[in-house]
Amino acid sequence: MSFFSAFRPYARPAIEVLLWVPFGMMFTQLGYSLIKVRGNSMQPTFNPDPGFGKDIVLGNRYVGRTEPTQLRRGDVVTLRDPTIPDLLITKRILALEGDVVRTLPPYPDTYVTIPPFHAWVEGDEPFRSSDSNHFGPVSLALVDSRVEAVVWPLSRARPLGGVWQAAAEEREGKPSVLDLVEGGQGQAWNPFRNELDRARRRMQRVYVHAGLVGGRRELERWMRAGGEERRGKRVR
Amino acid sequence: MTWYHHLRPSFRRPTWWDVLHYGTRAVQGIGIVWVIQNYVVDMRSCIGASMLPTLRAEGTWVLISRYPPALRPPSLKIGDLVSAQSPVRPDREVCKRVIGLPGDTVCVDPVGAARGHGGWEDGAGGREHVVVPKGHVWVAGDNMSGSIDSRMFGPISLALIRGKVFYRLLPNPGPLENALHELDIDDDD
Repeated sequence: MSFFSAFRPYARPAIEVLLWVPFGMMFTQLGYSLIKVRGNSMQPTFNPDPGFGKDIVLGNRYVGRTEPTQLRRGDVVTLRDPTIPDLLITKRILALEGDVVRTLPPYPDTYVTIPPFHAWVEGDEPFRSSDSNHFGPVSLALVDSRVEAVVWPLSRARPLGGVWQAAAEEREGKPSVLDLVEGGQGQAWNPFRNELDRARRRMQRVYVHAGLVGGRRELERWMRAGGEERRGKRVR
Repeated sequence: MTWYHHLRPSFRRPTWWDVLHYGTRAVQGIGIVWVIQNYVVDMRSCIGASMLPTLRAEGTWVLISRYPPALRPPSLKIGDLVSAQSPVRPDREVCKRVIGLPGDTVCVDPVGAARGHGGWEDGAGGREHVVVPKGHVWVAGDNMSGSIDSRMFGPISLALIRGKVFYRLLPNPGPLENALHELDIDDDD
């Protein structure tokens, strides 16, 4: 009995399993994927205690790869590092096209206007992070996935999103419910209040839509005049 | 006895099990095709005037190598045709030629086809030079007056390079070779 004939009964089920591998690759690249986060540039959102282990997060590659224009300020994304193309980094989007950002030291200019289809990304830990303050605004084509939730460890498993996006919308001038968070009583609200503090302090450096020609006032006038619906028509 | 039994008497009405089986196989086949298109080789038609003498504007069918190790500098050379994700247009893949690799000094606009870089229209021929940063490449179309490329949006990251265009299928099939040859001007041979 030869080597191959001994394994003959297992060949068929093994092939049946292997046939699913390409579809699995497609699903993880076009759909959802579990991503392990290394490093401490996103403390305290990911890996709050360095020796403890690596966080595993759920990444939405559909939005990141095929509809990156749906990303909002405050979303956590994984993206390809522009200077090290094979490295995947996890950062938070602070500003999108048309915004003005007050930068931090390594960046040569004090204020920068984000060009079209670009974003300003920063880590939550400002001092140990190589982010847009080092390499400038990044193209949204570099975005790999939007991080939807922390999956592991289970003690910190939670959906991301909420406070940071709301703090960004507050900067846009939209009415927000964040005062409810701030006014919440008791110990249980502390994590939310801390996160809200950090988000608001960070978003202070972002001037939403300020880089548009005419600035914020021009945009508001345009929105009052009908916004996108009126684009084709002649405006007085 | 229905109408199709005149065509194929042995035909059996597919059961739900058959439908499940062939549906599964179809999904697996889609996965295999996707992996080949994204990691091995892809066939695309390049439409647009930006590569004009090399690829015609109405669309040229080309083969694109997606093999990842071929898309990084030791094997990616100056003069290669690449397809890259556009850094300024969503859902757009563009075909350009690599002009500068990381560390090279590139003249932004040698002929002044894109204004504002010190090209001939501004007075002197192409005075503005940049050094391509680490992990980036400088790409440009062959048709310099009809191409949106690194002259407008600057050097692009290597992570945006999605494939190397290596063969032209239709029309005029043939390999798209790197036409750039290094001159050997040593005295001692």
